[in-house]
Amino acid sequence: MPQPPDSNTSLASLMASIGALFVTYLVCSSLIVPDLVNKSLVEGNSLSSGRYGITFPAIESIGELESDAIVTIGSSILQYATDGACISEKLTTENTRVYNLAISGANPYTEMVQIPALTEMKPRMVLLDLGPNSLWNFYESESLDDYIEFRFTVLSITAELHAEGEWSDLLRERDRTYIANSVHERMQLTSSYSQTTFDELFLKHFHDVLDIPYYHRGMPEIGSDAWLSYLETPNFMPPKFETWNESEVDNWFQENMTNKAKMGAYNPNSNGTLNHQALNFMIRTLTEADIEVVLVAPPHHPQVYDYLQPGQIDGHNATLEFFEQTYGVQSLNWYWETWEPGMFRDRNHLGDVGREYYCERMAVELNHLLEG
Amino acid sequence: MDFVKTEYYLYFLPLVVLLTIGLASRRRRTQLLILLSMSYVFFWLASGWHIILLLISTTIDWTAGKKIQASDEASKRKRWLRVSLVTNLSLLAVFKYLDFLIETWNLASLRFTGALEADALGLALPVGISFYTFQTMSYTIDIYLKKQKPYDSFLDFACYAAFFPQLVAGPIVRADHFRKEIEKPLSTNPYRFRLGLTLIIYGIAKKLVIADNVAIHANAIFVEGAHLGNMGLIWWATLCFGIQIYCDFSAYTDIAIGSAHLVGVELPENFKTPYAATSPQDFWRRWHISLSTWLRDYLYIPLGGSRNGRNRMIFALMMTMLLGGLWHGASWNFVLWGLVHGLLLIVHRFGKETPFIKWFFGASGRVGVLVSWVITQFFVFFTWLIFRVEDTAVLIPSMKTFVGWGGHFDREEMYEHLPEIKYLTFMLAACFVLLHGISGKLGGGKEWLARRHSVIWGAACGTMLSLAFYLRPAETIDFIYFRF
Repeated sequence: MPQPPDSNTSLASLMASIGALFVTYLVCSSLIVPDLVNKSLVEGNSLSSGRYGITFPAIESIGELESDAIVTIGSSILQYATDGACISEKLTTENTRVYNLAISGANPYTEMVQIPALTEMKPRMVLLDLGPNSLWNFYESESLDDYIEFRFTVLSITAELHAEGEWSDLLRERDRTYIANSVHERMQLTSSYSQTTFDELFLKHFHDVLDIPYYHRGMPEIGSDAWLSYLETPNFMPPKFETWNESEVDNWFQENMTNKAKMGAYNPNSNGTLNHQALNFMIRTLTEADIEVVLVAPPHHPQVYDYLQPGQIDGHNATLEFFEQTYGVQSLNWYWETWEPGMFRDRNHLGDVGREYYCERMAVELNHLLEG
Repeated sequence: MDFVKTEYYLYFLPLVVLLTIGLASRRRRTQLLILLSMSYVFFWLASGWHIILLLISTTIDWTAGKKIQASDEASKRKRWLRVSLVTNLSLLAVFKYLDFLIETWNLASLRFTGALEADALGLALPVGISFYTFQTMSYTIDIYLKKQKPYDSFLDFACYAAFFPQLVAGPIVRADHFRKEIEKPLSTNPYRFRLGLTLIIYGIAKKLVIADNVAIHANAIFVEGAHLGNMGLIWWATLCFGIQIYCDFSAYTDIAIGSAHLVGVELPENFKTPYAATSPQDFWRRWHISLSTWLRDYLYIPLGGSRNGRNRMIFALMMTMLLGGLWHGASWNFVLWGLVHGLLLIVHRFGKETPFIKWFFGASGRVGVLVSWVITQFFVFFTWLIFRVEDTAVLIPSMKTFVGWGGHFDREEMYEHLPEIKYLTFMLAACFVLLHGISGKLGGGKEWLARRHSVIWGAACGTMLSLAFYLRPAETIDFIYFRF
């Protein structure tokens, strides 16, 4: 084959070329593109809510602050109950801030992944969601599996996780594939969001040219003031029950609550579930690291209780009792308190009024605990 | 095994290169033995027991070639040529067309007698059968026509028939070309090695990033078969398929040529920026060159070609294009595709001689070139629509909409019915059009890149590989020409 006159490639330059290829590939694949994807997961529109991507960047940001941190983790019940800025302002202990990292759909099994990072960050206290809704047994459900895949994948992309130690022993076999143990595995998981990232990037930059509406759903830029403020007080859902009249709310409960009362969220187990094992790991690890743990169970809408049978929630009481006795942790079990219907946004989430009340109650409790 | 499987790049190709160029360096026979064995392994992994068909074709054509050469008797020579042609065409007929014939027969029976006559056999199409049968047939035909001599050794010929890079989807290599490539011990050099790597990486990126992404859009629209009256959707889907088929097939060719370079064999080019063509004739000089020249040499010219009068030429051209269409697959849409291409070639051939057309293109300069490019590509993409859609319930309304017959344009409807990843695909399509245009104007970028400084080359190829990894869709789509 004739060679072009300027093709004086030597063996040494061939080797250098291949070396340059590998270096470029590694830099692009393990640094540049993952960084773009990471940013897009949190700050962009790649996810329906960037909040699913904030866990590890948030722990890192909070860890860098000089103030003492009280971190809330758990499900949407705590996410929509906790106005961190409001509680922080009512604390009598100086230089202590309350952060809200709870998130919709979270359960102890998925959230246990963040415990090693949280332990390393060493907050003053962790407010751990432990309502009856956290104590269901795992069941065959495509949507549950999809959520676990989604949550683990996003957590794996946004941090270097190593499936080592006790939490990894608890993982179901199928879920191990969503935890990256190597650079290559992390790249593989990152690639599941890379197309969406680039798609979103192009839309973000060319929506004017293409005349397409573009709504930014992402989180504030990591490290900015807005970011830190968001970590204390996230965006809350718009009012729902608050805008309905009494009979509309009654109808809703009549139509929906009978079925819902049969679900796992209202039929907590006393022990033995993966969620119990995950909680056990979380509470033990945190307490062993001298991090104070408070188990929190906010109430549901008062009409919920009309649909519950006597003894139906006993598993929850037993679980709280077990952890209190085993690890000496405090619990704030408000589940059986009857809060005003107007405080609720829906069946189990607080609205603006309820959040304000929760803020006051929580601040009192925290002041008591912090001073004690 | 195929060119999008990581095993090919991690194990197979490095092993072949190591054994052929490294361990068996300068020992031609050993090199060919290794190449042949590895080619059979490749084929076995790609198509299983169908390797028997390849062995039958190889043995018969080898014997036929020798017998034709050895005999001066015209009848004997013709008999052996028939043996070769009948064997290869029978393999094609049984494995590629029999079910199609049975189904067509059944449709006709159903129409006239109201009953189905026979069950389809459901035979799986052997990978690459259309390519290696055409390749070995041309060998015996050339020997019969005394255009070339048979190979000296069976090993050489078997290597020609089974050479793994081009075995599955071409390019269709002529025996003489391959003979020159293997007549000396196989060797490569750093430049050639880097060129081979460039072609492979370029091919991977083209296939995974462009072809597979635009394919999702074309498939979504044509498979779903909804909103076929929306011109925006039909035009976009057709554009996507046009980009897909070129990027998919030319990517395969790039990887094939690149892989061959690594073991010291140069394969012929198969594409020359076909979407820069300014006439149907020009298109066929740029698209699937190894097939179009094969059809020209072994079908069009023997059928009369262009030197035996207008009617003969029309007949030869139409037959060539119809059979060329049918070569792609056993389906009526491929026949229609060939028919339309045949008509385009005839209309162009006679149209360009009319005084008005001569005057217009003579006087209009660059505008004329632009006009002829637009007209050519409009029809080329129109034929891609026919090529892509087998279901007549989707094809006919799509064709009508494509030419503006009763179609409408609704941008919102278009956006709603496109797959989730939209803007990335728009950008990829735009990049393709831009790069194809530049490539058509300035020539291919692969050789240019292969001559760059190590750092530039490494940076470009590393970036392409990384993009291939991150921008590929979740599921890789098979090479289109595997089906043929």
